[in-house]
Amino acid sequence: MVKMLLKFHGNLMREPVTSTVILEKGIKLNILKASIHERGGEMLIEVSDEHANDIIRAFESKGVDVILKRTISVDSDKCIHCGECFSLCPADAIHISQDYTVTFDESKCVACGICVDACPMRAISLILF
Amino acid sequence: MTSNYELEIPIRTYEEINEKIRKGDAIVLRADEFKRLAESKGYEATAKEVDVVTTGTFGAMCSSGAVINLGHSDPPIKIDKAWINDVPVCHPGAAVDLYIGATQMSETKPFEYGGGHVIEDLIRGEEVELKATAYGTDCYPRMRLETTITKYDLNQFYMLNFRNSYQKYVCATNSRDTVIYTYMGKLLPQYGNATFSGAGELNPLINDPEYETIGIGTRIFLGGAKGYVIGEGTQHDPRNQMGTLMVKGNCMEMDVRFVRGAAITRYGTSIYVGLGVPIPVLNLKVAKNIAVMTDENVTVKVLDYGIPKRSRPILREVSYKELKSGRMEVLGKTVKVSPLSSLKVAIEIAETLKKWIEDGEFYLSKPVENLPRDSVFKPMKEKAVAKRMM
Repeated sequence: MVKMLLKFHGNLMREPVTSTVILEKGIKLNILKASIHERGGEMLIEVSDEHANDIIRAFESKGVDVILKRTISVDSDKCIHCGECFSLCPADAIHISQDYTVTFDESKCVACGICVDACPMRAISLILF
Repeated sequence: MTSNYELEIPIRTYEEINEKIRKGDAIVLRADEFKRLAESKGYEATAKEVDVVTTGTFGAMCSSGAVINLGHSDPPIKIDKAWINDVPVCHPGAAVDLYIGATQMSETKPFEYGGGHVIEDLIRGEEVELKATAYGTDCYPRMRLETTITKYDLNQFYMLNFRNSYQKYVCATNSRDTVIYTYMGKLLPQYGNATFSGAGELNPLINDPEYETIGIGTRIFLGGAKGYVIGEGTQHDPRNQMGTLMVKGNCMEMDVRFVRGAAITRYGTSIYVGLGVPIPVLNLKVAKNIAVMTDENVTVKVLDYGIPKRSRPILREVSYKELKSGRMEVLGKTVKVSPLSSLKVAIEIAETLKKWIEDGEFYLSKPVENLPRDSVFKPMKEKAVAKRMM
């Protein structure tokens, strides 16, 4: 899965841009976060790898800025592999392996941020938009 | 069946083990390795081969701290109040002895930086800011102090932890409709997850449930250096298999891989302490206890931390085997369960201790006293009026 941040400028605010793209392309996308503020709107979406380029072009043709995002960053010097984050992840993006190493699968991360304040080492940061 | 008498016939003594360590001949296994070997060939045969079993745990241990001695200033000061990196540190003794408590929080960055972080920063060799005030006496006239120090400026820098390494600990979950933040971590609403602490079959006291080899004077791995058990820890509760250790070690030699400040959201700051104890296989009883205490056989209570009472509702008993699988059943629902102590680093600690013994860098010590086996952990005595006010 590819995550991308869509930036809608103020002039697009009243247009149903996202549903138009979905209907025109017939591609499913997952909306992870959406917000509207003084300068326009932002939306974090997730699309399957094979459809990523199609979706980027479709949104760009409608005047939307598309930025490819990383969602989470883990400081490996700080992480002690305690696994506190593991049970909190609703997307099953955090795994504990056979030797109890904690790993993050960024492609599964939905940027919810639930794990961030649970880390006792403050090793996880969410890349906010 | 091996009789009790046969179980206690000595196989080897501390002296014989140390002689083997000196010659580089000691056979050492981690507790988990010993158990797997005992499962395949029996504990009797395994006991004959293995001299020492190593254990390890790396978890948040709030009742920890460090004693430092600053040396005397000129003119001298008898410190009344002191702060290191804005964390209040206490002065329980004479003029320039301070105790850095792990859970004391910074006055400028509370909940994010605390005594545990100060200890970690000092061990790293970093410079910290010391401020102190005093009321002034004829012999100690100075009333204010501001300086920077590193561990190299100190006379003593000892870790002195009054409760570490719980034999086992409970598993926590939450019945409320909202998220709660506890010392057992972040608990999702409606039993949405669970957390547990403790290394299970790798924990030191779990492998010596009758405290036959672990006692006052036992040399241990503490924070990456050699340390000692100096007694039973506070809240030592042997009748419920919840024994604890009081320990001491030299921070000057410690490694931040095994000592970390921790920030537990909405609870406060703490410290992760790495602790490992070697267990000499003195007789078949010692070996049998190690072999029996597997993750499958050690169970803990699952408590509802959504109920803020001393006696929280017990939902079930669960084995460390189920806990370490990452999934467990809570009221018919399968939920994910997080370890709070690092099982990866616990194994690393047991492995490091094993290497030290194999390489002749660590010798076993015979305890001078055993830990209490029958003491009781009492609740607080409160005034009746205080209860009504709650």
